Amino acid sequence: MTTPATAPREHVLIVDDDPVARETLAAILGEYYEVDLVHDAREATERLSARAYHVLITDYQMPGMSGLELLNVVSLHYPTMVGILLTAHSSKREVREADHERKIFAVLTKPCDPEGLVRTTKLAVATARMRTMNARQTP
Amino acid sequence: MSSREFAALERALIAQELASIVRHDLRNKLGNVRNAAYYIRRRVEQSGAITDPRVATFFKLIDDELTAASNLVAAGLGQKELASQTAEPISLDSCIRHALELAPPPDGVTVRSELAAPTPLPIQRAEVVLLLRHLIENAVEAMPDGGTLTLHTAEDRAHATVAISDTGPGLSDEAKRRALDPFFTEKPGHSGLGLSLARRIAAHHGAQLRIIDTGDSANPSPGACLSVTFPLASPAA
Repeated sequence: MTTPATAPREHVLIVDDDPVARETLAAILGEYYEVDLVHDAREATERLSARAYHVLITDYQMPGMSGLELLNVVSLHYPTMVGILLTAHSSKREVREADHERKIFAVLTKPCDPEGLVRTTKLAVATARMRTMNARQTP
Repeated sequence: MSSREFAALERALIAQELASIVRHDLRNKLGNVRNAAYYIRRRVEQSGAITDPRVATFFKLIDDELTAASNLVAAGLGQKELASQTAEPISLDSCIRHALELAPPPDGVTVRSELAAPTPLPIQRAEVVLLLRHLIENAVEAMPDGGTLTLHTAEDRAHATVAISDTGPGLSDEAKRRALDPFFTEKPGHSGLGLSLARRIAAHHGAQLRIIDTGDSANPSPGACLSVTFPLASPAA
C-alpha cells in the first residue's frame, strides 16, 4: 500500500447488480479507497443519505432505476460527488446526452480496462475534492 | 412481404437477439476474470514473494488473451446487424395497420384506432411492423376474456409516437421493472423474448420503447400501455 494506514481515505460507492463484478471492482479500488458496495440504485440512495462519498461508480443496466437515472439524482442532490457510468452501450443517445450535460464525469465501456478504471477513479476523486473545496469557499 | 417472409425475419431477429444476449453476458464474465487477474497480479507484485519471471509474463498473457477474447466476442455486438434492408419512408399509421392485419385480434376484443401519425419515417418497414405486432399480441394476450385494444399514434415536429394499450389486469410491479428484459415472462409457455426483441428493434431505429405506468399497487388502474417514440429524422442524421 502506498497510502499510510493513518491517512483518511476517500470513499467510493460501487453500484452493480452483478456480485462478481462489484467484488472485483472493489478489490481493485480497495487498494486506494474505502469502498462500499450495493446491488441496486434504491440501496445506493439509502447509502448516499447515510454518509458522504467522493465518487459513485454505477453500472448502467440494472433492475429498477438505471445507473443513468441514479446519476441524475446524484447530480441534483450531491453536487460535489462525481459519477462514473459503466456501460456496454456508451453510444446510446441518452448516455451521450447525459455525458454532454456533464451529469457524468466519465463513461467507461464494459468490460473496462482495470488500469483505466484506476486512472479514471483517481481523477474523479481529485475532482470531487476540488468541488468540495470550491463549495466551501463559495459564500 | 408475405407472412412466411415475416416468420423468417422473426426467426432471424430472435437468433440475433439470443446471440447478442450470450455475447453481452460472456463479455461481462471475461471482464470479471480480467479484473480478478489484475488484482491478483497487484498483490503478487506487492508481496515480492514470487521472483520467477514467468509469473509476470503469464499475467500479461492472461490479460492480453482475455482482451483479445473480449474483442472477438464484441464483434457484431452492436445493433447494426439488424439492418437487413434499407430504410424506406413509411408512416407509423401504415405500419400499425399492417401489423394489425398480421395479428388480427380475436372475437371479444374491440379495436379502437386513434391514428394521427401520417408522416413517412425513415424506418425498416418489416422490422417496425414486427415490433408493433409483438406489442399488439402482448396486449391481446392480456385480455383472454375480451376487452378493448387501443392503438394510438401522434406526432409533432420531431417525433412520432405509438401507444398500444389494453384493458387487462395490468402489470405487476415486478413486470413493470423487468418486462423488457430478455427471458422475463409471467405467461406459461412463453419465451419472454417478444418485448426484448421489440426493444432491440426500437433501439435500432433510435426509438425508445417504454412501459407507461397506468397505476400502482396503491392506486390500481386496469390495463397496460406500451409506447414507442421514433425520431422523425434518421437516427444517423
